[in-house]
Amino acid sequence: MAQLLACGKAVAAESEGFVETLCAVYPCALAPVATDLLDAGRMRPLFLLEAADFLRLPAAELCDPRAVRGLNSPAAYLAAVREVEPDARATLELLGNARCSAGWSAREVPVGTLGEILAGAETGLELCTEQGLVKHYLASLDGREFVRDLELPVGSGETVLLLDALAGG
Amino acid sequence: MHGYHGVYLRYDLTRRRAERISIPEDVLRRYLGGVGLATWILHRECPVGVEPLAERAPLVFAFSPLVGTPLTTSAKFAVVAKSPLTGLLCDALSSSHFAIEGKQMGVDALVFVGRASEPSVWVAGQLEATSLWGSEPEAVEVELAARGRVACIGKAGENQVRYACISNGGRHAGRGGLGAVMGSKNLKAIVVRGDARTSRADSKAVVRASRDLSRRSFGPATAKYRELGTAGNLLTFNRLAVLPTRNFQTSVFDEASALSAEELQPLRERARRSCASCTIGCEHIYSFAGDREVRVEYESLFALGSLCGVGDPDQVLAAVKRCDELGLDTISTGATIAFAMECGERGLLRGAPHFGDGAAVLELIDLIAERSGLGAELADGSRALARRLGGAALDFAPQVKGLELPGYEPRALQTMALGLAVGTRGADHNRSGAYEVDFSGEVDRMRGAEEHAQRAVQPEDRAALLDSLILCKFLRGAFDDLEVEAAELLADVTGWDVSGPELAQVAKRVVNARKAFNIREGWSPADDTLPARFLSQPLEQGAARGASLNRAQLDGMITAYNRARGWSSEGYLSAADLDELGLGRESRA
Repeated sequence: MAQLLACGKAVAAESEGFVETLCAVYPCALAPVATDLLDAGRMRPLFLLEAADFLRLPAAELCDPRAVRGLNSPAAYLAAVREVEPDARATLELLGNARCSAGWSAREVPVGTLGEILAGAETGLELCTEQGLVKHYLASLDGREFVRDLELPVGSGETVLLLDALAGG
Repeated sequence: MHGYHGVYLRYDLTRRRAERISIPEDVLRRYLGGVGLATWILHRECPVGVEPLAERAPLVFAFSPLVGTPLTTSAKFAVVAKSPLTGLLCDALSSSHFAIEGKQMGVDALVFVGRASEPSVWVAGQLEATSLWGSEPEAVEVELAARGRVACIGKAGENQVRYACISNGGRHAGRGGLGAVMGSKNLKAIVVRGDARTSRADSKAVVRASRDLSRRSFGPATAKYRELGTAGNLLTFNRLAVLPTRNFQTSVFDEASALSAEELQPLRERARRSCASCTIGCEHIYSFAGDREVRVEYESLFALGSLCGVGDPDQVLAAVKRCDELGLDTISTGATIAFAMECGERGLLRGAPHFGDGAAVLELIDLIAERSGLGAELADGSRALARRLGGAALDFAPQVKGLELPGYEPRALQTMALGLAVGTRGADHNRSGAYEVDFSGEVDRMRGAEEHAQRAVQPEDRAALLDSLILCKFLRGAFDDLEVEAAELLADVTGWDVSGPELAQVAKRVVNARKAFNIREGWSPADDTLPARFLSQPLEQGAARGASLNRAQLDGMITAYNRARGWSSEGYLSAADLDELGLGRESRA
């Protein structure tokens, strides 16, 4: 793909008739075009390709055709993670009441959805219902954002913190 | 009238004269009790512009309609005065038997004005000279226990340290220097006793509701407080990088584990206790220095631990205990010392201890209470010290409106940053509760915006309602719909046909009344802000690395908050809002 870039055109992979704009290389000369498109509010990468003369590279000719696999669901994402890294692990860390109840502080767990990780860990706590994470607990990804969606994929190397929902006092 | 006596007692310490003053029922229904009722009384009793430690300044103890019922966590009272630390309204809560016995004196509130001619104790209506001046609160309570339930001050209150607290039964009306107000009146202790109980509109319904609420209070909604107490915040806050450390220079403390409830509890917990009429039992008593014991709370651990860079649990617990013995607010004590430490590092203050020097912290606590040496410079709080030092000191003095910040890093909890900036009693966590928005996962806690501001109103209103009913905030998770369920409880006690929406309106009214008091005492929009440090320095460590807040962002949230409250964009109440409060002409100043 990089070699094709030498022709001065953008190059994008094509898979099953779709142009994969995120599996593409763009010449630096297109930067002003990109700026104009952004200023016009035309944000989709496809607009950039359409504004230029670009080459289509069949996905089969890529070094690794998995590069253009669509990952449009948590399950697809996790399947891809497991395929690339069969032993992929995340960490579940317990704080506060959860730690005291479970009797441990952190464990490595197989990657999975938030719901799978919480259900699979031996905490001795009822953490999930059909409605989601019970309201008395909070989960956080790597301590930055709080998450409640049990379908959220937790990838390799990520840490789920489980903590008491009520702060303060 | 059920649930109330319909009267407050005004005692003039100068003239040794008591007066019973009727409270109209419509006032009680509009302000309920606790913080709400006390704020209404303060509007009436406090001369406009009075100096907080002046003879004429009133000190209000207010009970509530639920006190004396078997409803769990209802044995609470509010103490309200003009704060010597902020010059604005200060409301603090405490709990247990003093509330029950105080209300049984046949009043809904006690108001003290004037100044006793010599150190005195007030015992159920009689003023007596005392030899207890200089004694620690625990000793005072033991000495006076046979005569009733006691609220008293320690040496810090006697010396009018501007963040001295009022103590009762090992608990404290902690913030804002109410102990200094009591000390300024030469009042060492207030002893209450009585047997005048109020009636209930539907006693059977109250008992049923009490059983139901108690059952819910045993569940997971309060498990955190029961199992670990508020100390359970510390390790979590450190992991989320919201644990203020070394005078807010960072929000991650390397030694947090050593101070955490998770580590300390198995080794040091001696007992769990609860207030009167409480089924939660949040008080966790730890041992230190061998066989000594102290009640542990997150705010004390953070303020005298990570904020001062001290990680030795024995030293931190000893400092907490010493504050209790001297009658000092642990938050303001720790924060003022931490500020002095940074001033020392910057060469602005000579003789200040270094971060991490727990032994020096302990010594300095005594000096503060005695107003001696370096302690005299710290006894008026971090804002006063910063003003005296000049230069850039105010930029990193950890205070808003003069009240030192609690243990929530504003740059990593940006709804809380707003709550700290706009709080009527200054940098405060218990009246705002805005951190709950940050912890909800419904907003990005590190990118404060208008949406955060709109959401900050609801927890503040809820706190105002709980503080006026009064029920403990630790019970909040046990309610599905606080206003509706509280209305049912209140109806059972008072017989009023009160509804959830009416109580929601009460909450707004209480918030408005507090703001109106501050406005009449000279508040201006410029007071609603944060120290420059929080608006110019990003956090650099842990999960909040890179989190920053700027002035335009904070100002935008403040404007959005003011509008969400129905105030002008600068934060002033409308004429209609002021009329609705029914506070009289003085409050329109």
